[in-house]
Amino acid sequence: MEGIVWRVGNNVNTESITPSRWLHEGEAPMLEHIGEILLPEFPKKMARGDVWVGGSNLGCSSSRNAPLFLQKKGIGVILCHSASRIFYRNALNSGLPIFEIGDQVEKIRMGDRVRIDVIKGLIENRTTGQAIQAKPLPGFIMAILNAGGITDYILSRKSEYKLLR
Amino acid sequence: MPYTAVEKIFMSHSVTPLQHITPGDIVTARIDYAGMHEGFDARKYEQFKPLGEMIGVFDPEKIGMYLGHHFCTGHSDELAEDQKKTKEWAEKLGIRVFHFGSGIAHILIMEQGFAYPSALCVFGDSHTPAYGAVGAISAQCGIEMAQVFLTGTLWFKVPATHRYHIQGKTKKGVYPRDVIQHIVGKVGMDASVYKCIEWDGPYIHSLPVPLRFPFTLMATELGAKCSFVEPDAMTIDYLKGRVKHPYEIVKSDPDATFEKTFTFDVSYLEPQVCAPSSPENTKPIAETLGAKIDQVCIGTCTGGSLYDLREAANVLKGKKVKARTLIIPATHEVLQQCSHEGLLGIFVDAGCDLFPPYCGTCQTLSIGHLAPGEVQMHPGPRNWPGRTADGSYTYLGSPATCAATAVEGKIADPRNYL
Repeated sequence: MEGIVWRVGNNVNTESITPSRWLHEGEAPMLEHIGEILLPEFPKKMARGDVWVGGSNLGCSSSRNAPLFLQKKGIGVILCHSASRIFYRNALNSGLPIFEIGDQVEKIRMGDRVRIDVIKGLIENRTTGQAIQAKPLPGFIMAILNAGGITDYILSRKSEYKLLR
Repeated sequence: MPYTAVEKIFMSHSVTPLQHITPGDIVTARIDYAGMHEGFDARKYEQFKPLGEMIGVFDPEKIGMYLGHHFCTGHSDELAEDQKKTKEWAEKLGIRVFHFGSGIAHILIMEQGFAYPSALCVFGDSHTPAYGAVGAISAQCGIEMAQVFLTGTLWFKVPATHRYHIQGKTKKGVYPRDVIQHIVGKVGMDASVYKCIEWDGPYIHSLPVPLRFPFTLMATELGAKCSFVEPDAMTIDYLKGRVKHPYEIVKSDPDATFEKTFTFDVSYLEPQVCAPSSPENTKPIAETLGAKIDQVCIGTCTGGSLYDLREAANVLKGKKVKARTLIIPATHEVLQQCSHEGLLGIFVDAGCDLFPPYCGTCQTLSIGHLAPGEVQMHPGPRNWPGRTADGSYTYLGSPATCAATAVEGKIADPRNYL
């Protein structure tokens, strides 16, 4: 996976990414405005496969599924110093890879081009030539990602769920 | 081997028996109570639709749908229709439904005894850590709620524990909402990311259980996954008549490993105000006095208990408000208590408006919308951008500070009214 970096800072809350104002209105207006409080150019200029990069405690505050909207917008991977637990699980359960890489996130700037091997957790900054090794995701998380998220994961094992028809 | 309370609770709830547990372990655990609110448009249950038909849930007695959390009334055709559909879906599965006016889900879950000491609970909202106030461990659960509803289990990463030790006695005019605001400002919103926060010390154990809610609930504003207060005599007394079955009390061992300990002495603290637009932007009230406020809401999950409304009424008694002032008790039970104590008359005589119990204007999804340039104050947990209209601003303060501010139409010191 390869794309351009959209960089935000520490303690970025989910309401700033996906504002309450657009939660009632369906998917299209949200995708038209997503992230603009933080990065005014983002909704207009981002391209499919781009990478959202945050600092510490990324996606704190509200439990709304901001990663799902980022994924629908076209974001391919999220990188951060650390993620809020809710944001982290929402990303993986939506089928969007996310890696917490600590201080190494300082090696990634706005507008850099990065390539990510999701299976190995290897991040290559093509702009600076630096490589970053993230801790690879455990097997059962990769199974959820490969299925396309928790819903498709359950569907792929439907026979194990006695309460589903 | 000594363990913290959260480690013991995950160990006792593990689906496969464990000989040992350590932070960072992944555990699949049994859930004692699970719930969802209506989401932001009352269509949250639609996340289950792609799965096909659900013919049941793991235990309908252990699940609740809370349709009066974000909204206090069906203010549009769409919302009314969505609420009706959610209700029909839940009732078909035998799930208990809480309607408009029932109140804030988290407070209801503690009030009605669905959370209890040593229980493991999940809920589809970020402020779920609240139930630690009654000795439970509770964590937010998102789109994986399907897994919980269908199997009664979920995977967790066992968190390390941070201890927040609070000592001292607050001065007159300083309330629990000031103390937690001070702490968030002091240590910052990423102080305890993914940790369990255990609140202790003589200050915490001096508080009635509803005044412990702001600490366990706002653990979220410190980044925590869950939160805990060791049950004491006041907890047991609070739960009497609410929890209708026996429960076990779990405590951290005295020699358990706490990854970090923060210590606070609140004896010298002044009232605290959180300025726009981040929950850690704490200031002593003196630095914000006189800021113009258009709307005050007295209510929310961290300022809508009976104790909070008593403090507000104490300030408002015999006064008239200058700001538009909304009184929103956290739950129907609190509303009823306010009614019995004569607090509602004080609010109405002061010129305040009464609204049905729900989340309030912490997020203006239902009522109390602001125009760009308008400013509000409430005792809720958050004032982030994106929660109200673009270009509007939110200050946070204790219910007493909010009441004094309502009287003057600008930020005012509650100590002048006590």
